[in-house]
Amino acid sequence: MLHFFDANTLSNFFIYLFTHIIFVGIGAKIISCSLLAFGFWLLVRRENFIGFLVCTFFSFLFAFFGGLLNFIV
Amino acid sequence: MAGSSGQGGSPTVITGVQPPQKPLNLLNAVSEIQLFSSVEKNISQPLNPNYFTTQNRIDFFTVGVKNAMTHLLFTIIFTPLSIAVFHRLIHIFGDKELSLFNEIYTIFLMFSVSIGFAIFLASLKDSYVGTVTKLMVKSLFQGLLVGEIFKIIVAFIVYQFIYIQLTPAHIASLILFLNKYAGSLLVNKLHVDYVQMFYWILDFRNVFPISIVFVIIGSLILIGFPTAAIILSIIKNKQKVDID
Repeated sequence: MLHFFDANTLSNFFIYLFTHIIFVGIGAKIISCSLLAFGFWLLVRRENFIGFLVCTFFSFLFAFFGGLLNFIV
Repeated sequence: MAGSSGQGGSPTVITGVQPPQKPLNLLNAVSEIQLFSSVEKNISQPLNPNYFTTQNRIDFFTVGVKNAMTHLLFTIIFTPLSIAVFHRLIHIFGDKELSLFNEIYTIFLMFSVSIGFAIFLASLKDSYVGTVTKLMVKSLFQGLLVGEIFKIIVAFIVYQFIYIQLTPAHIASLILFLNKYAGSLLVNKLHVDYVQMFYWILDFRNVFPISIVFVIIGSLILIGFPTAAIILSIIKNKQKVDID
């Protein structure tokens, strides 16, 4: 069991996590939509512009980074 | 707070109303407008328009212009990227197929900043009462309009410059430059195909002229939506007064 947690496996796990779940497909959609919704909530309810712009920026990042990964992975 | 009106022909003395503070940002400006509207709603005599001095007009105008500039960079960078999704040059969420959800979400993302600020500014529809408050709103919106026009001009210049510079010869020079300094990384590690890169950049070049149209649409949303909300509020108030 111990060999499952070696550095190489963990590294591969995180690479897989980021390239197949978080930045692409349904994972990216959920994170991007949630960030955008949170940004609008910050703007409308808390009148926090900076928070809104930051959330929108990261929403863009999660939406477009998957496409970039398609080129390099 | 403002003093009450005098009786008969005696002069009305307004005391205790602080002059508008210099707003530092859009939130300050909107807060000042809301504060003044609540004062003007509670006084029987309208304030003298000169209560909103020339300096105040310039301050509110400047805030409007500065607000347009704060999201200039954001708009200039992300509008072409969003258009590139429709040209199948960038795969949103890594999806090679462009589904209806992806298309709608890309459009919404592209206009998200404009929509967000438009919704926030539309809250001023309830504050558009009283002489001074109307002047404050007008000054702010004039600044926003000028700022947005300036943003469109800057975006047009930047996009046209990039479009003109991205000739096939220049793209080839760029790729040769990248190969000279990062060739081993691009070819060996990232397995980049230079021919594919060349045609991708050439196709991406066509995104820039169309992007200016969407920058203009975004500006129209940012100015038009709150203006329409204020006009509708004026019409509704007039109808209420007529009914009374």
